[in-house]
This record gives sequence, C-alpha cells and structure tokens, in this order.
Amino acid sequence: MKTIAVEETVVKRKLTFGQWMNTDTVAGYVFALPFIVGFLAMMAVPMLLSFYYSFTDFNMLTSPTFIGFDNYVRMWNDMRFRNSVSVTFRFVFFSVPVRLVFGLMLAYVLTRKTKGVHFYRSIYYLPTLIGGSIAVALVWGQLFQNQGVINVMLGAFGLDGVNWFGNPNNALWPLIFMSVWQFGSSMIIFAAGLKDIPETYYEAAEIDGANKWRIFFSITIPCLTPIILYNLVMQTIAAFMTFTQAFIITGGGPADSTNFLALYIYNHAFNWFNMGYASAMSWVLLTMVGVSTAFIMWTSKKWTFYANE
Amino acid sequence: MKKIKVTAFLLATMLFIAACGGGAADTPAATTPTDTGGGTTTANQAEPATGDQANIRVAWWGSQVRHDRTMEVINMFMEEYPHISVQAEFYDPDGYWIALNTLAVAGDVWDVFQLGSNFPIYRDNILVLNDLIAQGHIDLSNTSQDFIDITTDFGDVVGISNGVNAWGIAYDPAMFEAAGATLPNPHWTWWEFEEAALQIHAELGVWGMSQFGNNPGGPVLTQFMFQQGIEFWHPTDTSQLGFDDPSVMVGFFEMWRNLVQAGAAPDPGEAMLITDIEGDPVVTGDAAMTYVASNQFIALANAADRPLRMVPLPSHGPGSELGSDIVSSQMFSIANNSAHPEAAAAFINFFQNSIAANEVLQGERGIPIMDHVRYTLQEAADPIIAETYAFITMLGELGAGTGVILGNPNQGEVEDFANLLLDQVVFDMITPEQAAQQLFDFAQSVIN
Repeated sequence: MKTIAVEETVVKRKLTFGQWMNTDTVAGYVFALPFIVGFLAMMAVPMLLSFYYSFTDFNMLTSPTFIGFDNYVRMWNDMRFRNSVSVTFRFVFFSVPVRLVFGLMLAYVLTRKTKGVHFYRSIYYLPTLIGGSIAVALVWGQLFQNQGVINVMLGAFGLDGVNWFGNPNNALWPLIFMSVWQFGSSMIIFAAGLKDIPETYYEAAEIDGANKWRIFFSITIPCLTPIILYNLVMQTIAAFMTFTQAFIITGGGPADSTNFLALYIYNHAFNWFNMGYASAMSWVLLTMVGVSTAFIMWTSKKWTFYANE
Repeated sequence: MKKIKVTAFLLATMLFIAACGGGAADTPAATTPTDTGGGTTTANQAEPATGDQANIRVAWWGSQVRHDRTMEVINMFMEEYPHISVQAEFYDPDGYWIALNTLAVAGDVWDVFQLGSNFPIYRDNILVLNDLIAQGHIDLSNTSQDFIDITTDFGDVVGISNGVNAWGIAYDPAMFEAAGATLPNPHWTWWEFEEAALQIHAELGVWGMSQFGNNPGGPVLTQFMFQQGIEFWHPTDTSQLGFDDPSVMVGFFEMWRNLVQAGAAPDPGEAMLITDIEGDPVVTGDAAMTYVASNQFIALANAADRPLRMVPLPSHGPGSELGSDIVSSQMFSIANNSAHPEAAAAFINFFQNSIAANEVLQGERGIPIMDHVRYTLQEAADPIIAETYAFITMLGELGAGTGVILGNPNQGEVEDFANLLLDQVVFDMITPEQAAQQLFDFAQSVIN
C-alpha cells in the first residue's frame, strides 16, 4: 500500500500545467465551474442571506437588526398573508390539473401520424413561449374586460357578460385560464412519453377487442403515470410562484382576490421596504412548495406504474 | 431603454472629456479626468479665476422630453461654468428608485438628485441647504418664503422645488350643462361633488367621476382629512399617527362606495385598466370628471381635444380648508456624501434662476417657483397651459396652503391597505365604519 501511495505522489509532481489541467478531476471541476460560481453567487449566498434577513427587520436602507421570530409571528396575525396563501393554493389546485388534462389531450391528438402534426405542435406550443410575457398579460386583460372579446362572444351565445375583474369572486378565473392556455411544455413532455409506450401493447389490446377508451385508460394512462408525476410536480412548483399575470393584469385586486403570495412578497420587499418580512414569507413559500411536492411524491407510490418493476 | 442608456453614457462621456479637456489646457498640471472623477478634492490645482475643478453627478427620472431638455440645460451650465463638469444620469421612474436605493445603501448618492414627496425615506442622505443658501450659493431672492417652505422639513431646507403643481378635479363643463348639474366652484363640497357625479351618470349614462388616481387611499384620503384640520401622519414622530379618531375617514369610504355602486364611477376592475392620463375615460367622453395634477392636466386636455377646466378638490363646506394644496412636484436635493456641494449648489442655482435654461425646460417639471421665470413663461403660454397657471394663481389668491405633505417610511404599505379596504367597502364586504377602524388599527400596528 505504501509504495503505491508514494508512486502516485511522484507521478503527480511530474505533471506539467497542461497535463494537470487535463486530468479528469481538474477538467471536471473546470467544466463545472460556471455552474458552481453561478450557483454560489446567484443561489446559495442570496438564499443564506435571505434566511438571515428573515430574522431581522432589514429595510434595505439601514443595517438589519436581529428580531428573532417576530417576522414569523407577524405572518400568523397578518390577514393579507393568510388570504394570499389561500388564493395561491386555490390557483394551484385549479390551474395545474386542468393544464395537465389539456396538455395530455393535445399531446394524444398530435402524436397520431397525420399530416401537419409538426405545424400544429408548434402552434400549440406558442402560448407557452410567449405566455409569461408582459405583452400577453396586457392583451389578456383586454380580452376579459367588460366590453372585451370574451364578453362579446358570450353575448353572441345569448349569455350575460361576466364582470371578470370587477368582482372578487371572478377575478381569479381569467388568470387560471391564462395559465391553462400555456400547456405547451407539459404537452411536449407528454408527447415524448406517449411515443415511448410500445406499439405491441396497443396491438395486443386491439386483438383482444378493446375499444379506444378502454385502451386509453388501461394502457396509455398507466404507462404514462411517471410522466404525469413529473409534470404534476414541475407544474405545481411553477404555479406556486406565479407572479406576472397578477402583477400586470389585476395588481392583486379587486379586494386582494388575486394577491398571490409571490406578488405580496414582492410588494413587501421592493415597494414597502420590508425586506426582512418578505424574506421570512419566501421561506414559508419554499416550505409550502416543498411539503406539497413531498405529498405528491408520497401519494405517487400508490398510483405510478413503472414498466420495469 | 438600452438605447437611451447607451446614448446617455456616450453623451456623458463626451461632455466629461470636453469639459476636462478645456480645464487641462488652462492648467497643464491639472489632474487627469479619472482623478477628478474619483470624488477627491482637488483644491490647489485650478487657477483662482476658474475656481476649483469639480465633477458632479446629476440624476433625475422622467420622460424623453425631460431628458432632452435637461441635457440641453446641462450643456448650457457647463459653458457658463467651465470648471464644473456634469455627469448626467437619467432613468425611467421605476429604474430611478432602484438605482437610488442601491446608492443610498452604499453612501454614494449622486451629488444632485431629484426627489418627490417620499423624501423622508432618504432624509439621511440629504444635505441641508440652509448654509449654502445663507452663503449665497443658491439665490432665492426671486421667490417667496411660501415656495421655500414646501421643501422645508422643520426648518431644514432639504431641496429646491423644480416646479409646483396642485391636484384638483379636471371637468368637462359641456357635460355638466347637458346633465343639468351644478358647475363646480372653488369652494364646492364633497356632497355637491357626489350629487353632480350621480346626476351626470343618471342623465348621460357615463361615469360622473373617472378615478382618484391609482392610489385613492393615499393622497386623496390624506387630503380629505387635512381639510378637516387633521393630519394622517404625525408631524414630528414617525412612530405615531396624527389622529386618534378613525371616524374622520368614514365619509370618504361612504362617498366612494355610493359612486361605484351607483355606476357613477368605475369598479375596481375597470379602474385597473386605466393606466395613464391619455387613457383616462374623460379623454373619450366616458366620464365627466377626473383627478389630476395641474401638470398632468396639459396632457389630459391635449388628448381630450375639447374644453376642460380645473377646480380644487371638493372640501367640507364653510370653515374647512380649501380642497387643494400647492405642492412641489419634485425637487433637486444635494447628497450629503457629495465632495463638491458648492458646485452642486451652483448647478441648482443655474437651473432655478437662468431664464435661458427655463425657456428650454418650459415648466415641464411643474410651474417654476422663481417669479421672474414664471412671468416670462406665462406670457408665452398656450390656452391649455394658461389654464394651469390660472389654477395655481387662483389657489394662491384663495390662500391655499403650501405645506410639505407629511410622509412616513411605512406609508406605501398603509396606502395599499387603504386601497384594499376601499375595494372591500365597494363590494359590501365591510362597512365604511369598519374600514376606517381597520385602517386606523393597521396603520398603528405598522408604525410601531
């Protein structure tokens, strides 16, 4: 053993700089360096700082003072915070499943071998590419206004127009529709998953005389459950952090009915100079996302199916 | 935006080099531009005739028109004061505060910087100007004490107002007549205002009143209370409110609920879609009144392209204060970290007192506080601008106050809560009395 160790050090000392750079370990670190630097500077340090700030009264102008758990206690008594949590959960609960159903439906239609599938797939992916932008949020706001296109169309069917943004009970729905409309990324992943299901399963089922619905629910869905799980987790996390739509279209109103937690945190941090309180709320949001993800993962054992099991 | 920034940078660099180049020719021993730019005092290098070589930074927010005009004035200033070079930094209104917050934390604020009524937040970064004024670096002989008071914080002059304006109601006289409503007068009451708005809605089917800005729970509510002789914020103590009886706010919540529920004012969703002055329903004839500042009235009346007038905000009848105050639209302050406060003062002095400079600026920041400047501009004004001068003059003659609007570091959060309560009252989720009580409790809990 000793001799080997000695030999190794001798070898290492003889390396020129160029050779040293080309050793596997060093090359690995060099290639990973951009990520490591980015992670430390953009993620790790700010996260640690925000954790520290969450126990202070930091207001960005004067130096922070340690105040223990005051920010977390304040949250407990803050009715606007509680409302934001409830609004955010309602948004996640409605937007994520509907978005996934839409994504799956279109992916199913668009994996069939028909002409122009690629064209349609691109078209349906478009909203996802542009959906997060401010311009689209502005357009969406116009569509749902009192004399907007949506109400005109409802009128054409003989229905009464809905006061979307002027009524606290309705204002969340246009934002949910907008989120559903951006089903593209889950659609692409579903499409890839659908193609991975072996043709032989379908052939066997057809020979046994199963109809389309039976095939879909007994073969497609079970084979797709790992993909569904992945999409569910990713979309849930994204939905918890929704910000732009509410920031641009409703400003959190009317009467706080669309005041998502991310928006409320933003206002506290950058408009009202309560960086300490905002940091504390971010950590609670992170915890909520973590717990929700863990819950989904825990239930997934009951409903996902892996072909190799 | 990027283009503007690049242009700004290039312009600033060019000016900088030009100015420093001139200085260097006079005094071969002068320091290089980088040295003067570093903020170090270069007291012994310049010739006595030109004074100390100084490099100052001037920053403001605003529109493209303001940027162009201010850059032109900066060039004029540097021609007149060759020993001072000015580095300009200008921003859109949002970007400005982000930049200022960063510099304030670092203790490296621009020598001359623009501030509004939110100056209490940056009070620790502001140099008090009393000494510079006493030493004659800033000449205030052409204005009255009233105009200096609007930027005075308990005896400390924290800046010099770049222009004054007053908030009030812009209205369409023709729509009032068509609806048979009583025309507003300078002493009208909130009750008369509500009557008129409801009648216009009933007769013409349009909104009587379009909006109280995007922040009705802020300045309008504060003014509603001030008219009753009550301050929302305590004048000296930021950990106290200026009042202890929430019932003084109830009338405001009631008035707004009545208007929105009757359809005489936009509901919160409709109000959210009104994003700028040119998009105000008054412009399209969908409303008869709106709440604007006198400098915004120019944009509103130009967009509407039909005769509009301005009156003060409604008030509470005999014995109450006049509806509107004359306020500073914004001011130039000097940073207390400035290495060249006298050069900064010279710039502000030029900006305020030079007729030539103000003929370029054209009162774009508000109506100038210097008498000789104001008279010169007023003579050349078009009818719409003349209406704003007449409005301010009328307020002055009626004895409108020119006090600094009191602020509090927590006012943003409190105002947002007031706007939430306004929504809730409109939707009958709470009563006006509950709203007043909740706002009072919330404001008190936040400032403690």
